[in-house]
Amino acid sequence: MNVSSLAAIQPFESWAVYCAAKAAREMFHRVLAEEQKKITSPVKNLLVLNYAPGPLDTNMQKEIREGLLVDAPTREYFTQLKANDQLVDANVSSERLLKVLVDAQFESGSHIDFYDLDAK
Amino acid sequence: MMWKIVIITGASRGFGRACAVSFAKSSAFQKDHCQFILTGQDAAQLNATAEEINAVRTSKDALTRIKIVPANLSNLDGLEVAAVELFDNLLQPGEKCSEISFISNAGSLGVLAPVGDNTHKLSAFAAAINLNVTSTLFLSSEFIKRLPQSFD
Repeated sequence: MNVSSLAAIQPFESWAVYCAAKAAREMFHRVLAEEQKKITSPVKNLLVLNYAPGPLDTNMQKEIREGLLVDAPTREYFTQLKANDQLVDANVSSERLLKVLVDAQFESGSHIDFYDLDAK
Repeated sequence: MMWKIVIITGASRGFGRACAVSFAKSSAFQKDHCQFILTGQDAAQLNATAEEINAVRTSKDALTRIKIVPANLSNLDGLEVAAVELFDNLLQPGEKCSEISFISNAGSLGVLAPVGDNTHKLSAFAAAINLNVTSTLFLSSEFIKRLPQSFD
């Protein structure tokens, strides 16, 4: 499972490096998924998932609000998210991820976002 | 003896730690012998993640084995050794693996500024790409290479 991001599939101003890196990881794992579909032995059923966990309330998020190498508009936007209690609890996101993995109903190589799982 | 194996990068805190605990708590894993391989930069924090795993593994009959691999995945020089630590020789003689999961979570932000901004420097590009892309792609490849080992 590759921890991906909306940034892997959508451009965000000031996030060129992060977007590019996430896009590279996402595509690599999509190719891997295609390759694995043709393999039946000795490992069966290797599933590849690109999971975007949502904007998590973690140290990485704190770095965005307080970091030196972050421009002002980005810092402001994410400070607002935190203030409005719109960040996602990492444990809530990981629990949703586990359900997806255990159910194993996804198409290998697909991109699943935390917010896709809202209604479930 | 059948084991379920979970390997997580960036497991010392944040989403990596949350994933470790969610696997450990999952009803799909509670009754199985589970091995966790956790990597991150901070050994003390990795041990704290290990404690959280142990705290939620409540089944008396299911064993838990946790391996801590402190590593800096942005350092390309140490990557091949790290891959061996993460993916090689995970089972003892006589043991088999029923399921293995690799959670490639380790990552960093890089510099967050418009492309032409002065804060972008070559060393920062290299560091961000090394960790987020090079080591990530390399480790996935190393994981796949060693899969037959666990299942033969």
